[in-house]
Amino acid sequence: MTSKNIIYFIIAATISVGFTTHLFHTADLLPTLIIGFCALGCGIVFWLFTSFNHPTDPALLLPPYLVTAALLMLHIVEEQVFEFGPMIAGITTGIWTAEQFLWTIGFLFPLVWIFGAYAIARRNPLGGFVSCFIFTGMLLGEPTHLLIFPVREAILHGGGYDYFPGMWTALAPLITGLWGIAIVVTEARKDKRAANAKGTKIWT
Amino acid sequence: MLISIFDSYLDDDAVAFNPPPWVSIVAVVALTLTLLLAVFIYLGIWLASIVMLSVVLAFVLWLTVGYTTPISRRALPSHIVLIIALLVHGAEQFRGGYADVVVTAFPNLIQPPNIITDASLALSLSLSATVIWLLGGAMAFYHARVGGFAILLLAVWSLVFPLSHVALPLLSSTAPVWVPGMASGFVVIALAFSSLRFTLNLTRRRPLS
Repeated sequence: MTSKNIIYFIIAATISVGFTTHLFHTADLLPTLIIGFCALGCGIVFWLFTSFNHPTDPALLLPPYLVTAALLMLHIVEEQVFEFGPMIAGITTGIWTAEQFLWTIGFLFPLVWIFGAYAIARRNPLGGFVSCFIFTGMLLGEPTHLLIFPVREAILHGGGYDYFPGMWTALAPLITGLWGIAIVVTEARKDKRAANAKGTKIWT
Repeated sequence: MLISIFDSYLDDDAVAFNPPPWVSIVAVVALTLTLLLAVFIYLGIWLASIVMLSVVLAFVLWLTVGYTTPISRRALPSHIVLIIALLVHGAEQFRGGYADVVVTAFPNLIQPPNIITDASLALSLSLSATVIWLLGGAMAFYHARVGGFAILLLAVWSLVFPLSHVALPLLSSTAPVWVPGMASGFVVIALAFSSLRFTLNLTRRRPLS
């Protein structure tokens, strides 16, 4: 691992820990587990084992990433319109209001993942980190809008399985997210094979 | 017997998706007209005028540069930087209460149902617009003409919208001198100007088709 890569890892870990801590203090454990553990935690591990040493070719990665980012933003629009923040606060002990949700998920979070597109285009390792956490986040986190939130809402407040904000657009970014994961894994395997053929050792 | 009613002359030979180029002009006109009317209905005439000016300028630029030859893929990083800058600009407007300033500046123009709030502005101009810019970027990657228009529209909008903040105190005596969004607005203007110059020069110097 080069000293440059260590710096990128520290930046990625700082973003993950800072954002997860902020989430835990405002939105409680459930969103923290989903975004912090699924997206950021698994995203970092996935990144370390795939594109950490060799950032993926932007010509392959940028299209699925841009579409995933657009669909994720569309999902956030649905969440904001139907007040996801207060609804999550209703099924947890969190204090998310619509305004706090807008600040955290509408303004702050997108700054990181749109910067990711820029980093991918420049083949910067941080682009690999952001793409890995967005893709794994879509895969592990988004189904909770259909499988966990409405069920918890029904258990806590009665009534049947019903609409929960963000439900209709939750699985859309998962489709392109899987496309992105396939590209990252395939390209990492190619890089590893090429490194093995040359006889160079890469630690992943 | 009954299956014969499903027979046709279709087969499964490879067919290229190749619509005529003018379809992109129809698509751009249809999409921007819809967008313009939506802005007019939901956000009022002040913002609709700014969007209209941006659309007209971007359309002229697109017809002269981006339509004849696709916008270069190398313009994408500048497009992404502008998306980030506009999000920061939107956050500053939301924090400072830009919607209140517009309503105070034009009390007779902004009438119900066009009562804009900071939340509705953030939802439309920051969050929803970002969806359009990102999808436009993805389309531009494949040299789709509509994507190229989105790239030019974002650059022009990033130039015109923050400039309108400066125009607001000049056009209305009830508007404050400092309009929320001005601080980041100057950075956005500088970035938009550079991005526009970079994109147009790049496309003119290295025509792709």
